Amino acid sequence: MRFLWAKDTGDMVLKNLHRISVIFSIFTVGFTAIAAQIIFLREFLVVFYGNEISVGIVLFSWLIWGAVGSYCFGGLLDRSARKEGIFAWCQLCAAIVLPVVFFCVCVSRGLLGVLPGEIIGYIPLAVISFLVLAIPCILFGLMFSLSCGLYNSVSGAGGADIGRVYVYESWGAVIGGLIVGSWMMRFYEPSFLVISLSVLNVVASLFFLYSSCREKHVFSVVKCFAVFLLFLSVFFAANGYVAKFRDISLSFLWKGYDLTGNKDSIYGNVAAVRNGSMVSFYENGLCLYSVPDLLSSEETVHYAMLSVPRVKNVLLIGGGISGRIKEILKYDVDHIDYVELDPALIEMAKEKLKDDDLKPIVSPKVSIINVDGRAYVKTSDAKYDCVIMGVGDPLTLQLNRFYTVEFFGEVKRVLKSDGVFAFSVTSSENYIGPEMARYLASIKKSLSLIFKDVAVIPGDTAYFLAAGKDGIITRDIDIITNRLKQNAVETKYVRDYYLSSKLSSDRIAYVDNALLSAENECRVNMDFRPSTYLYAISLWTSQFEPGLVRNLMGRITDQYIWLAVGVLCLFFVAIFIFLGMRVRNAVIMSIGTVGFANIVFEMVLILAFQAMYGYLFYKMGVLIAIFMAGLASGAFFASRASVFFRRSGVYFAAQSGVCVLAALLPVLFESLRMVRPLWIGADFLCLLLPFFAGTLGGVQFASANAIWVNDNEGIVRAGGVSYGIDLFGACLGALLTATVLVPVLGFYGTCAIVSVINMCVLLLYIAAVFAKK
Amino acid sequence: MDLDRYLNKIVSAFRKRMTRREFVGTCAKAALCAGVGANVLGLYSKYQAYAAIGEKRGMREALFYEKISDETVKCLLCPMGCVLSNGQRGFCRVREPVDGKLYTLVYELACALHIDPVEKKPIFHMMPGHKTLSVATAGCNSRCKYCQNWDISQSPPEETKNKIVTAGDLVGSARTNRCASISYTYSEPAVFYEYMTATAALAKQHGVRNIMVTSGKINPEPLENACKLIDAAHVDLKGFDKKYLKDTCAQDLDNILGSLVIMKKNGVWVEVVNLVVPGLNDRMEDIKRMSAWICDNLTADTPLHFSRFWPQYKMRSHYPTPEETLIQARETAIGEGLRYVYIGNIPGSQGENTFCPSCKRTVIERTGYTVRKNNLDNGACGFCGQKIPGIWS
Repeated sequence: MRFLWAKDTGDMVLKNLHRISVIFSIFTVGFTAIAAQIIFLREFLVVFYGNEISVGIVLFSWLIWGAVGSYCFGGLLDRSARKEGIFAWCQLCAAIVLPVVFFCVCVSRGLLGVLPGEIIGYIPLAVISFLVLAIPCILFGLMFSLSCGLYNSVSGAGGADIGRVYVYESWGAVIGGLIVGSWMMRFYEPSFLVISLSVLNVVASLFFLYSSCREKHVFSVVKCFAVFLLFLSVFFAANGYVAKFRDISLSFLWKGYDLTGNKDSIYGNVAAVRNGSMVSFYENGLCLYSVPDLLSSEETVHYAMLSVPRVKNVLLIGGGISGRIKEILKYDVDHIDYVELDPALIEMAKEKLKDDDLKPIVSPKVSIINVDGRAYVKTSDAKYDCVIMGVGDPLTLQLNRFYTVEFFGEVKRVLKSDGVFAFSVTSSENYIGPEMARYLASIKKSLSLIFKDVAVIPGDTAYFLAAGKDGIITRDIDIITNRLKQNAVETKYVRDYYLSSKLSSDRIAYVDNALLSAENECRVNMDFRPSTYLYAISLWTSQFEPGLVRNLMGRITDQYIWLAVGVLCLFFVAIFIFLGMRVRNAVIMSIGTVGFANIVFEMVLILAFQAMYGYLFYKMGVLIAIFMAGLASGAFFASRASVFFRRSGVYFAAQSGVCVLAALLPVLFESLRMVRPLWIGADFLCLLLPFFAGTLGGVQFASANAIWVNDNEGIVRAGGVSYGIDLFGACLGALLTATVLVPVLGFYGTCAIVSVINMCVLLLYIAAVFAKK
Repeated sequence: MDLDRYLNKIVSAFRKRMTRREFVGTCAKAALCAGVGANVLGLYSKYQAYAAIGEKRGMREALFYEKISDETVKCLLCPMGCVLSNGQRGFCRVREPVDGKLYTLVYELACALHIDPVEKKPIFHMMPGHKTLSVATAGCNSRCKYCQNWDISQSPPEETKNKIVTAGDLVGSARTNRCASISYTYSEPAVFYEYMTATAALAKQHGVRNIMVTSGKINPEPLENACKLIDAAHVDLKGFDKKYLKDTCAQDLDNILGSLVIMKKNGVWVEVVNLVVPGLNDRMEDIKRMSAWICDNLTADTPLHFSRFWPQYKMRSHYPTPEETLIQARETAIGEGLRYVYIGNIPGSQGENTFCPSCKRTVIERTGYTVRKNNLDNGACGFCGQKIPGIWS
């Protein structure tokens, strides 16, 4: 349905204005969707303590509801005469719903009756995210579908409009990701950002409404409501209600705690909580360190430091604010390099710690280096007597990088020949079960490949000590206590009265035997095959869903996954044949498989570059923005390329490109790993590859839509179907990549699966083309 | 046909309006499918249960249950009072009926076995400095969210690494390793009651003492029986607020307090341990009430230990207890008249030592798990002769 305008110059201007408002609205949908995704993901991670699995679960909910909104509701409204009004209402609903959803996420812990400090499993997260994200994501999906119809009404290019809408929406997402994810999150509270998004949508709605119709009485209700919302937002902002909203959200989030500091950085949320004289620091909702915590500090430091005859230079990776520097300074060291990725943590410590606890951190012997620890070790030319790491358990792929064979090799390079490397992970003093044993054994196995001597100090926290030579590390109580005396080091916990129990022959034999018996069952941990991460998340999950872990997760192996892929491909073939071997069907299937591939590429590229280069150069939001820019550019290119090339040719090239890229990525990663990176080269690749992968995906999506949508009727439905299928593929990719594919198969196996699935669909397309001929 | 239109047909079918008859019919079909499915799953899970206990090790007919029918029994061991059908596992995860008889699945099936100093339990008034052989099986009838040994306490025996350790093995091992006592600990000895009592009886015959490290969540009758064999008990009184205990540990305060009284009445040496969790059970009013109750019902000579919470299990994102909270708790408890109040996990603190209530001098000096000085003389203060309660030999 078209709106008819008067045929004078003024009406031409209005017509253009209407077109601009439609484009702006589409842009706003993309901007809001990605910005809201970043903000809500951050909040979910803080509330539920998140890792990549949590991200996958939330993204799954996000994308599946988006698919429902686009496919089901978009289809429903295909023939509606009120698309403009409905679209405007959707914008206003989004404006209202976003702050409500944000608030719901903040109060969800209270609703679940969770104790302060209690970690909850993935199932509550899945349920809450699925329920809470339903309305906003349906709205975003629906708005995309409606956008196709609206844009079609001002351009009339049929199926190609879907591609153009995708371009505008993607650019909105790129700009949103850059502005909100990489910039605003550093300076503004999430509650403020959510309100800002609401205002943006209200403004976009008003712009759209007033430019879309010449008769004032049309859409009068929605216009009034939009104006009302605008005034309400201004009123809220002017009277400080935004700050109150923030305070109320925080009070729910930190119920039961005396929150004394809260900062959002590009790395996450950092908070400080006080209880009496103790200050505890949280990152993304998980307690990192408490100060003072002598037990952890002493054990982390002294077992290692006492092993080395003369310690002059120490590298501390993470954990410096927890009291470890204070313990290190009890020795006659010359210098401590303290590497901490997030400067917000240091700033918070400087604000909240007492002078006694702060003084060691600001000592002239200490250099604080705010870079990724992995990147620092990889590029440092320094040599250390002792490297002590305190980054926490490898419960995320990000942290798993610090427990791989490759990283251990990098540490050995910066360690002197008689130096010691030490770190701690969660363990159990009295019983080491199968999951715990595999987890610890994989770490020990990986360490043993690089270091000649590896020992474990048993306890509820296991302390790993590694040295390049035999005879350096000791677990002998007398030697340790003698060395304490020789170094004139005063300790409270690392003393004979505790060590006699901790390092008894019974306890040492128990942990050694437990790890030895598990070594054959576990794999070595590598950057591109994160086995320790798999065991860590199995262990973590077994706390909440023991049956699930032992019956299911423990049985997912490479063979089962490949079997599932085989069954999926057969399913595609069966559906294809059953429905008559048509080109359209193959193309529709490929939209889903490339949606899957896009998410996998995005995650694999980010994680792979992190593994190789760390956080040194890139922030997650920038990489994602580059990927989205690639999507947008690809879609734009495809829409223009139809002038010079056949649509089927562009599609074929893009689909083949996806298969080839997936197959080549492992080769590329291996090549990069063998070459000591030049920074400029690494920089360039980190920009180029995500952009290239995104471009392929964008070209494929736009060209696929241009092929299968062959009329102007049902453009909304068509847009809804393709976007819905794309999102469905993406949501499966989001869920499966971090939970199953990467942990079990590694990066290379995951890329291989993407290649195989897309190759299958490509072959079906080729078969359909030949069948047509 | 096109895929998208085919999918739309399926979606349209759901959107189509139904008549009332069609709706009822659809619901009935769905209910039938769900019922069949549930039964299949139920059969499967029953099959799993039988399969799980096809491993005959650890199976022995349980004590303290009531047969209701050939299919159903009621467990009488703890206040949960599980009514179980054949193949159904109890709340503790280690008891299951087969053909109308209730079985324990962990008889002589240990999963943790270590030698610890008795101060680590903590038990401070029983032969200071001696070693105790500590044993545990899988299972527990509580659900403490900060359990240090969750991997065994929250697991059924088919999911833990176990080995057969007979009562005779335990007693022999204790004697060989010069352990003056055997501690039934780590998980919850009430749930491996049969194993504990069999071992305790044998240990008693051979002059080895028995220590029960328990939450006290057990019915009076089995507890009275166990008290005939147990010499000392460490009882975890995790809080004095009913709601806190229920929400955090799935325990009933009245039952725990009742168990304490029974133990005391039966001459078991009792030491109470309170794990102080900041922000959850660290209110001094509750500690005061708890101390007053102990004083009134168990006597002022009952040792009370305040131990420090460390982030564990589901509470790993909580911060540890500040030292001053424990110190304040100790002062509060002493203020209520308790004579032996200790603080765990703070080496060098006064709260590790035993003071004579009469002359106030240090009778036993401890640091960590090590006894530095023992000024006891035949169970009395070596300085003034005041009797210090406990088991000293």
